Amino acid sequence: MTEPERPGQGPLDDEPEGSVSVDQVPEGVVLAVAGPLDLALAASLRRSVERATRLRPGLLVIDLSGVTFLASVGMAELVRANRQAGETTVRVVASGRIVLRPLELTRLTDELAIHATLADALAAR
Amino acid sequence: MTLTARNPGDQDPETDAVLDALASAFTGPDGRPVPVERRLLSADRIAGLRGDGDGVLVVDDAALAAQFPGATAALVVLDREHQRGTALITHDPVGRTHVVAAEAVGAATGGLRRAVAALTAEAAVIDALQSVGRQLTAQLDIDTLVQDATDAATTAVGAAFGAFFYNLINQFGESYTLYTLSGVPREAFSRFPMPRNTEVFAPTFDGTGTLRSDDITADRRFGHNAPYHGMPEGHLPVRSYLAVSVISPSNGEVLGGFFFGHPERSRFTARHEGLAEGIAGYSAIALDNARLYERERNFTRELSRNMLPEAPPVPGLDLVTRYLPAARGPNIGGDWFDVIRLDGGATAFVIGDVVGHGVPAATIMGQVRTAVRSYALLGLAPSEVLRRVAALLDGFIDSTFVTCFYAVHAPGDELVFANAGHLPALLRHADGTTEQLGDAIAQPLGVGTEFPERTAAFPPGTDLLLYTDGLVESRSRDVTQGMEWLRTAFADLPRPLTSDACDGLVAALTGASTTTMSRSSTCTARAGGRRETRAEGDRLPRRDVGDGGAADRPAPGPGAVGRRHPALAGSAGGRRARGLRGHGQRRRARLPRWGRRTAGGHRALRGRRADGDRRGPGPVEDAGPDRDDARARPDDDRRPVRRQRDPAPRGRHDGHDAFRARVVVTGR
Repeated sequence: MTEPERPGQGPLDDEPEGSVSVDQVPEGVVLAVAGPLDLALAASLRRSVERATRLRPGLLVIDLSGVTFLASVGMAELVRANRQAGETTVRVVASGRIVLRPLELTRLTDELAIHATLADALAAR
Repeated sequence: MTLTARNPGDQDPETDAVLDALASAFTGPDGRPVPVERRLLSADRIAGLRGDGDGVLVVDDAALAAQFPGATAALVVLDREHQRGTALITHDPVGRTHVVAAEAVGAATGGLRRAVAALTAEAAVIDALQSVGRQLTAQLDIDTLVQDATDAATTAVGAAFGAFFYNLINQFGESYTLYTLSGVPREAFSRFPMPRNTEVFAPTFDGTGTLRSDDITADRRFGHNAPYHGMPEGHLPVRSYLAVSVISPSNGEVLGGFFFGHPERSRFTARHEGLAEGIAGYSAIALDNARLYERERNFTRELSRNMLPEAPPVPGLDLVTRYLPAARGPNIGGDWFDVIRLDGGATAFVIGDVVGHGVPAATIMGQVRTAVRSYALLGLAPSEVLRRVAALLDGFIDSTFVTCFYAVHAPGDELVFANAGHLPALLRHADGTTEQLGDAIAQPLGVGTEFPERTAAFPPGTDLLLYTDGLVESRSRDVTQGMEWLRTAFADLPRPLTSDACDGLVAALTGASTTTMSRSSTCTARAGGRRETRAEGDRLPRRDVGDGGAADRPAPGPGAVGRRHPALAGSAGGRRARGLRGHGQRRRARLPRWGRRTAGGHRALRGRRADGDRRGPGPVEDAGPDRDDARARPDDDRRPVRRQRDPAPRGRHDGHDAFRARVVVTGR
């Protein structure tokens, strides 16, 4: 799959520079990232992660379904989120080679809990 | 700015009142008002009118006959910019009351009109200045900036020509002066030397004040300096002269000066002076910005240049390296490559990428690179090098990671490598097939802790390509596709490779997604922003190469990169391995350093050698004295003796080995 599905959750989904939206759901917090997860958006993701973890949710899902380009700086943020989450369980939603291939090349697939869909990530135990 | 943007007939109430009053001033001999017709006049018609009055024209008899046939008298009330007006016309006999009234109105409103005119002009100046300022201060390209400033200022002050002399500082910190011209072709000045700091120019160059002269040739400071005593022969004639310094707002330094000239006297007014000073002020800010920006760019460029190694020549290997800066963004980053000659004739290839951008990434890169080099020189195995660097990084990098591919080309046609999350290397075999090395075998430094080792055969005629993500990845092309393209392009490269072919590969891969950006990157290259190194290992004359047989051709590896990313390619020339083992004597003579071996240098390689009987042919000179080897640790087992046990490993190398032997023998 080359074209990732876009969840349409972010209010700025169509912005070329991408967006990170924060949604509180019963299971925890979902951060939906859309657009190219590069230097600019990685900074935004970091802020969102910090904001979300302050809520001390049981679960933090970083949904990369809307990501059109995953730069290494974006992957670094995923690792950081995963390692600094403390009590919070971090899961990543990733499907499609645009996101999965970079994660595989760096074997971050071993480090991160990756799920194909947001529903899976929220339902996983 | 205009105050006349109303429709005809759409007079303001004050004008209406004036018109009413004046109309009632038309009186006949009996003192009674006469009928008065109002007629709107265009600017053209007003231009044809002559008459007395300021703001209110009393139309004279000649104009009256020409413009208003049959009329006995007429007044024209002009609007503020004389763009149009309203005529009051009567065909009845009248006295002089209307003339008196017109003079009274003119006298009463004259001051006001002049004030309005002055304010209007002032507003236009501010408008122009503001637009020039906005344009100038948004410009970071010095060449464009100075030309725009010169043109704007020359136009604004109404000079026949203008020049802007400005100082720049080159990368060595030396100041030099350039100039731009406006209103005259460059040839008009090209024959003259740069202006010196004469009495006339001193105030401008020293930044002590604006100099405005109605006739500079009459100035007491003019004409005292040999050889010209005034303007050089053939210089454009200058009478009116205006010169303004451009002074840096950040440090008070005089950055340059504007000089304006006109062949007629008294052309420059106080307003022109103010305009010129205003534009000079904006130019100073803009020039300051541009210089700071340039300095920053030079700084990062120099930093990245100094942080990158030259690939050293490696006997038996042809190396082509390319390091191209990103087409946009900071001219520095976390990508690096290294070619490290290890003891015992092994060579380490390193390529890596620190996540992040700019100076922070570059400084981490410098440390990681040094760490890798240090562990490499200890002769550690690839997995151990990466493991130790990862442990080291644990202490000082936060929320970032480093990908790194580390390979050692050990004597004996073998490549031992480990890969910390970096893009897989590409190997092109002598038969033209390609293979990915180290695809997803370990996590990046900063994340993972274990970095398993792999081996691959690296016989003569094989090409190895290492690269960073800029070559295969962009926003418009995902990495999977990019890697496929690269692999195909790599397979299609000519054999043996040429440097041009490598450049072509880079262009093809990076150009596809970023055509315009690549072009601008190429332009930057000429300015010194792009680094290219090409190192070729110990090339033998072509005829010797031919002797070596097809498998033995030196094949420079491709080098390639897009954006800021380095690529590094090496290819095994058949000579390399043989040169190391079989021809050390001769090669050492040529490259004394090369043969210096220490025991440590082989620690990492020894284990591998044990399994490698195919390695190392046993040509005659192996049995000869090896002074460098003699310095090695006694228990070091990488010995000519050992090599002598090896049969010629592959049939296709036979010709090569024979050739080697012959060379060495001849050498003796």
